[in-house]
Amino acid sequence: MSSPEGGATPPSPWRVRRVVVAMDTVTRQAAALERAAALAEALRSELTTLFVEDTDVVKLAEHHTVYAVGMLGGGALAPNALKDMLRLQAATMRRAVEQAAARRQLKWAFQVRQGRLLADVLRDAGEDDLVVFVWPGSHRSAWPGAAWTGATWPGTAPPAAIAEALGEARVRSVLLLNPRMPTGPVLLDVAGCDGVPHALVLASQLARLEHAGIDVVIRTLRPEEAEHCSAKITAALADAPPRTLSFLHVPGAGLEGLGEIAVRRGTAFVVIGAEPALAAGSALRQLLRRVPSSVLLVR
Amino acid sequence: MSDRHQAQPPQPVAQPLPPERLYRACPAANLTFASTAELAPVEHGIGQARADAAVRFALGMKHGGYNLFALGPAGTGKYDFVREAVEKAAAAWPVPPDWCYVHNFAEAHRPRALRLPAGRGRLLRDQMDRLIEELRLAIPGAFESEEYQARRTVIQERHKEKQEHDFGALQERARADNVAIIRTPMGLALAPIRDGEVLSPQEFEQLPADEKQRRQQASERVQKELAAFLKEVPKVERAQRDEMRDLNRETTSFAAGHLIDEIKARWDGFAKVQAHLEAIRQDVLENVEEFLPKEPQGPQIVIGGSDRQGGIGAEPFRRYQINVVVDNAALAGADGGAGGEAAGGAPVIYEDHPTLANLVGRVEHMAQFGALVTDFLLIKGGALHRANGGCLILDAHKVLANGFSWEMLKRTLRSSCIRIESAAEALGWSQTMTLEPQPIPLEVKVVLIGEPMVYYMLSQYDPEFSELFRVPADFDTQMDRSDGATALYARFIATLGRSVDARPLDAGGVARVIEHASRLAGDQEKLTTHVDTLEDLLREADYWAGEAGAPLIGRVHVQQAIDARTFRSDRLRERVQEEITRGTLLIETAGARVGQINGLAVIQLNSFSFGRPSRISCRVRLGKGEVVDIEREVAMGGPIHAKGVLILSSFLSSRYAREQPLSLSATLVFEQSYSGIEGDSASSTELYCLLSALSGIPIRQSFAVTGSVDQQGRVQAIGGVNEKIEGFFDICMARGLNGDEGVLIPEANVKHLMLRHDVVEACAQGRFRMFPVATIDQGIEILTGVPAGTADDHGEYPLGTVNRAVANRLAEFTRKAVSFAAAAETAKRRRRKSKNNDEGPGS
Repeated sequence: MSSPEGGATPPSPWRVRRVVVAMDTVTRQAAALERAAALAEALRSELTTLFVEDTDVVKLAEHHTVYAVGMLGGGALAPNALKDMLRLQAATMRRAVEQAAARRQLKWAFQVRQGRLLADVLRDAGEDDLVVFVWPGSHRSAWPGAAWTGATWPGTAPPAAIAEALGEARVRSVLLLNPRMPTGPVLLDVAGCDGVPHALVLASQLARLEHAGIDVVIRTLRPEEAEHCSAKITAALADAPPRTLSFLHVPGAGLEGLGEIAVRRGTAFVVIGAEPALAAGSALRQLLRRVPSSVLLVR
Repeated sequence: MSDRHQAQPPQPVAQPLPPERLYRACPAANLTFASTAELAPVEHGIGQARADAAVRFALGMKHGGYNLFALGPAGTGKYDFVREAVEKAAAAWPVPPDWCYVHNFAEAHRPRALRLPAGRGRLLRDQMDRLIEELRLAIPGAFESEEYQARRTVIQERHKEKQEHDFGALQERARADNVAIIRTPMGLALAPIRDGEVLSPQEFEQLPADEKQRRQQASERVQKELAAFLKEVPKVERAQRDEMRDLNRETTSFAAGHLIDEIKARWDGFAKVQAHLEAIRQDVLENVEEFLPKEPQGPQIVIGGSDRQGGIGAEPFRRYQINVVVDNAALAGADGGAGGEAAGGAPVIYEDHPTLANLVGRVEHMAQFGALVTDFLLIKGGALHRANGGCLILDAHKVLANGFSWEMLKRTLRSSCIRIESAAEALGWSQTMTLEPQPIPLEVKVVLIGEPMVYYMLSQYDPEFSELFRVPADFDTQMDRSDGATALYARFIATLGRSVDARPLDAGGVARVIEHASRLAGDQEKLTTHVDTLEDLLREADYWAGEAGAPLIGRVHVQQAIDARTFRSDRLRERVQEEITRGTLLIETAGARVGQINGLAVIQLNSFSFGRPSRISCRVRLGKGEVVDIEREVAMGGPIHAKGVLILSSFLSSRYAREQPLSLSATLVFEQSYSGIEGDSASSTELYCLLSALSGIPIRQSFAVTGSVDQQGRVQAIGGVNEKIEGFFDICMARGLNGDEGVLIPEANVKHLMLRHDVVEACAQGRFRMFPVATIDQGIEILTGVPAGTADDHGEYPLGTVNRAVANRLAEFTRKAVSFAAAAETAKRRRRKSKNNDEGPGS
């Protein structure tokens, strides 16, 4: 992710106040942090990092003897090894945040807390925050077995849990960021025109950041509404048009269909900007299981 | 008549040559055309019957080793002659096949060679290019199909669900034992729980001992189960990959199989093409992932160009392409050009720059990310590839001058196959990994063109040469000048004129060219076949004709070209003559002197040569029979010249001192000679000079002499007779001819006379004379005006003859030598006696 191109931001009264990056103790997050920092710069937002040490892990670290099993074998860890590792990770992450922010001259914050990643981050996030969870994508494993462990444990952002948790949170925007996804177009999903303005703002910023175009998928059944949406989006982007802007009218398609489109077009970001999509928890979960792209949910 | 004193027959008196013997004119009236435009061209060069027969023989012989070496001096038209003959022969030979290199799927560094009928190589290449285009669309299309996506999802989901289910079950079992599996930075850890919450150390310690023990055991059990589960993960993932691979192969086979089958059907009967297409099919199936749009994997850095064994860069279809290294489509009429007409026959290739790479081809490399990479598409054919099935013409000197070319050419001819190898590889120096293309069978006729010296050197020093180049085509530099040959030569001149874009010649112009051709051959009965020189003459005559605005090249224009060429070259000759006429170089052309004579030498400057008179002098005295060649003594005389002096020395002793010791000491020298002298053409001259010195009879300085001599006193032919005569004539002319001047030439050289017009004219007017002499006696009579004298039965020469005077002088030397020897012996005896007396009986 590179620095944004020059040009005017689409006019909107709404803006992201903070980019809140949710970090835990188990995922590799340096690349994600860089991309989140670039996004914060593009959005002219503050970069806040919440480093959450899971309560269970912290409790476990207190035990004198800890048994751990990994791909390379298993056995008792050395006394305090886990505790030391947590401390070390927090320090390392803080330095990384500081450096990333300094490079971009961002206002930044770094907080370490013990708790539950999802619950705590979403609870603390404000309405105008953009929360970033690191997510390895649907079919790529951060480590062997991550695909089936990701939904079970805190740490790697569990898509379904996020989908469910998002419904209760105040935050408008959650980005499931796959830092390994290369540059590509932005796919903006519009079931109808509801929710378009905020999603459009972010999609536009992401496209500028990616030097890419925007593919708008309109899933409404009504052609006139599709036309209306197209016109509305085109007009909204008239002052700062993306590199390319195309519209795909797929009447009645579910989110699963969106996943296929994203895969075929090499989409880097899927921006889901319709309220009903967020309500459709199982469909969203199916989508997240399939697309390798980063997914931005915007209410 | 005793053998010792065999009487010599009287010598006929030499007469000056009539002018008609000094130059063989070519009367224009004898030529039956007005312009060479009327004359039919000569197909081959002329006067090369021997070479022609050799070329035909070599081209007709199909056995190995019957390659041709066309030898002859530069400029004899060897190349044109050979090329014309070879092209004519090759036109009747069958069109050779095309050769292609294709990827070797088993060993990528050893590309395979495919032999195809002429013109089919590019056909296969084009078909493969189209196949690639179709694969490029068909394979991704098949993989994007609904059916494929659905089946793929099913496989992925099934495995994912199974893993989740199995892990979920494990987790449930652990939870039942109050153990949680927690992901930590150090792996999956096991934590004791109660009511779903992880126990703190304090809480755990408060548990009853048996409970703690039970939990401990449960934790160990879960740990084992977890370890076993994780061990199974790679197997499960492998099983998923296998299923995906099978699906991909099935999909690819569906998408690509029929495309490949279509091409296979077109190449029915071509087993190797079929096998290659089958290999492509297998490769596509095995590497289908390379043809699909890349799934996002984050930024990647490709190090080097070769992403896999068969190709350069990331282009997966490159290895299916065809590299046509020999394309004979044009010969087969399959190139679509020239109305699709077949040129037919076999190729005739001339390689002007026969480096190793240009001969046997090369494997090129491309720089990618700082590394040199290559593949079979970068194999480039050489001249041997292009000439395969036909004929390759090479300049022998250039082949020898290019490192490794000669050795590689021999190796290739010996093995009858072309193996592409760089010089570094040939030397075993190559450190870079490169290709070893499959050698291609070779059937070619090689023609080397070179000078005779190259041919004889190779014959002498390279034992393989004679085995590989068994047919020499020896090009002659001259041909007979008969009436029939003259007519043919006129056509030859006409052909050459056309080849150099000169205007036609009239009969007079042709006649003058023929006369000049005789002069160039140095023989009234020969004509030069030196094509380059004649072409130059015609070009330059054409220039002068153009200057004069003449439609045809006439005699005057040819003469103008000859004169201008001479003028451009004869600065040095003019300087030499000037120094002679000014008296710096002493050459006397009047009067008579004892022991001094005018000799004649030839100076060669590139293609221009001229005669230069030299003053030769001789002095004699009593000695021990030595004739000292001063040139030899100071190492300025060559061995042939020394041999000539020894011969005249032998002549002297055998004629005049058969029964007595030769008691003279003579010195011979080329006066004012400041450079080396070689050749024996002055040996008769030196002998005349010696005879004059011995006899005391002066030699007329108005004569110059050339000719070698044998031990019998016979005068023998020499080279450069025309230039020598003209050289002396010019001096005499400059000083004014009075009719006494002339040149003595060997009788055997009369047929070589093609003298300049002004020389002939002076002779016709009696102002200059040319004496042919067969013996020394004839020559000395002309030079001294005194009879040579013939020995009688007692070996006595008559009084008043040169020979009598010489014999007397030598006899006198002998008497004196005997007298000196007797006096010395007497003195010696006296000294010995005196010594004995001094020692006495009492001493």
